[in-house]
Amino acid sequence: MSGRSLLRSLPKPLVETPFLSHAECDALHRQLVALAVGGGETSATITSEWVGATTWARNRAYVTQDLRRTVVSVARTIRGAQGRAATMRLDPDGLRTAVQAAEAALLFEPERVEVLDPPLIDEPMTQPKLWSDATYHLSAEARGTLVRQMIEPAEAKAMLSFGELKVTASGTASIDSLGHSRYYPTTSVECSVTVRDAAGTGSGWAGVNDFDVTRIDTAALASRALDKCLGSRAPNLVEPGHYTAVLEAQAVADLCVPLMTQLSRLAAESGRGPFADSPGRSKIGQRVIDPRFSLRADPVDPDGAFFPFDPWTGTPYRDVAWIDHGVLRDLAYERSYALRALGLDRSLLNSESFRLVSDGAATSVEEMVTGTTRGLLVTRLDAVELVDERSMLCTGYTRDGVWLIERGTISKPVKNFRFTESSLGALNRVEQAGTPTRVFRPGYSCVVPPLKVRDFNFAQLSDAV
Amino acid sequence: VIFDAAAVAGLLRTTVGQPTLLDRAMGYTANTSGTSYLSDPLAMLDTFHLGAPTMTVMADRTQPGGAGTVQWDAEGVQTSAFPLVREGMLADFQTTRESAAWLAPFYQGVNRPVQSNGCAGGGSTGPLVHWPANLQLEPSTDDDTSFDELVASTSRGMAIMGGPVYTDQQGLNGGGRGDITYEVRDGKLGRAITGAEYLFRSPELWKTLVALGGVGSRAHFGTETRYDRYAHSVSAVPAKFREVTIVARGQR
Repeated sequence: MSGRSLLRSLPKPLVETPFLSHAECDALHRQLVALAVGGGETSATITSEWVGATTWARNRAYVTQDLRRTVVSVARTIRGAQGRAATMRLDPDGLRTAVQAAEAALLFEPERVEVLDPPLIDEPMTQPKLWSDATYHLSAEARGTLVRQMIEPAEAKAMLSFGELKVTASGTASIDSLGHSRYYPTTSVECSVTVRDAAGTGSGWAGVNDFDVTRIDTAALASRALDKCLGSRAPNLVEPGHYTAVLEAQAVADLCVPLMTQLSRLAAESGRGPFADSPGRSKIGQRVIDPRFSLRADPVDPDGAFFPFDPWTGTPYRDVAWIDHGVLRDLAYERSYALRALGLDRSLLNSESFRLVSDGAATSVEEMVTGTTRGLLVTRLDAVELVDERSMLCTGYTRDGVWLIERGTISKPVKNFRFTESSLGALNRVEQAGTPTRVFRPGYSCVVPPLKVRDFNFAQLSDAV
Repeated sequence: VIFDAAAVAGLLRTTVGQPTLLDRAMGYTANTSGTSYLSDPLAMLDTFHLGAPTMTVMADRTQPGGAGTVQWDAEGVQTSAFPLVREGMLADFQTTRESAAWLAPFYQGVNRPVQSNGCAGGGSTGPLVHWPANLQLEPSTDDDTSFDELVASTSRGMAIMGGPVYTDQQGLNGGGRGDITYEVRDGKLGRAITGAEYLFRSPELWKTLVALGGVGSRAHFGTETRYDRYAHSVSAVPAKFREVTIVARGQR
């Protein structure tokens, strides 16, 4: 049977979509089960998406994509040994090859008691609002119009605009052979714009991602990037060192992202990472950051809803406060670790989406600048890398606009810096915090406030603009 | 300061490989992975001194076993070996059929055909991209020079063994630290130094290149670009530089 006739044989979806419906994913899974040899369980993670992307450079649309893609990842589990293989071929030969590859792979896996029991896929799942018809209907033509409107202000000022407007509509399914089947459709938009001057002496950036294109003000993004470009031209040299830093929300998010990868109870109780305490113990219950701050993740967060379950196990993400008023409350763990070490029978998974909130009155970025005698205003951080897990020391570069603040006003643009700073350290030296806003982090949702941090270490100069 | 082949490979990847991708140099990736310090390709070709006269870097997607090796690139162009840096001078960029045309005035000026040098990649599940070629730092013509001999000819210095190299988005300013850094005294490796980092500005660093290892000291490394994770290989030899800024972490 050819791929085309297979698709014809699948149940007809209620609405014609450019990605697979729940019923189509279930039908694919039934075929995988029929192809399996040797008993055991057969589970599948199916991601099916349509991507429409328009990329522009030097004031002209450069690439327009319309992509449809389905990836079927099949896991075969026999007596607790699991093998996995993925394919983009949906025809019977392709599916058979994938099942056979998974069965070959499991021969080299140990039999593990913790995967014998099915994951608790029956846990209740939240229903975050992640579908927008407006996003779904943003055609290449509509994107082109928006992109033109974003380029025009830059071109009018003889600047060069670069950017990407990307929309995705997808259905993701996690299905096992014990009768569990979970599926969730989502849309997403990523919009980011860089404006540079032709001589390469100034650069500005703005961006955000969301599920709903109507919540993104593309004109405001374009104008912010243009203003930053115009204001950052011909940067001056100031000495590297410790400065009070007014970090815009994007810069705060860029600094916090490495922290999200360290929220592991297994790592902490094995003595690794920033949250390890005495051997075998984590720092849960101890204060780790400024008590005004909490680090939370809620799939139904109104500003930052995120995908409701882990596609690999089908386990729902729960509303969690990793850090509550400065005190570490929870660290993520898989079900195997919960059973083995914690006496619990369900996992707590980390989606890596997050919201950083602070108590007390919010201070705007302008007010933070006004209250600063001498400091630096930072747009965003680039190429942030974790240098030392224990202290959360990170390094990276400022990018797309840094300004010197003197006596409460922005005095001049300055050259970029390489910074060397600990995200936990910075979150212990916060002077003021603003209103949390959604920032640019494709694939995740991230809601953070701008922060004023004292003694931020801008270690070296960088001439790159 | 002597860098072993692994550390030199890291330098080549970040300071030569990525900045000579032509779309990057022309700003096309400004909104994503960044731009390049080789920001005016037409004016810089055959005039910009990127390193010392002993420095020649070849781009070669035909290298057997290379991670970036293909017979034809994603646009069907047959791949070949070509110099990116010839005797310290910027000689070419990594191009595709589209981007090669941007350099037409240069190619016509030196009587070369305006054609892609085979660095297109991707294309099956996304748009065509500039794919980094395998890089090869040409060894010293003296076949026998080894890392140990570079150390032996140094009365006072340091030896950097492997380790990460980072640069800003243009590949201009950067730094790194060895997996191990040794003190070099009177031609011998001394004690290991902890917390030492080196800093550089790419062209200035390569201009202070004083000696390279011979072909016998060549080693091959697989690597990938930082942002997009495109795989390619780098072949490098140990190299000796004078005047490299070294800082201890946290102090100048």
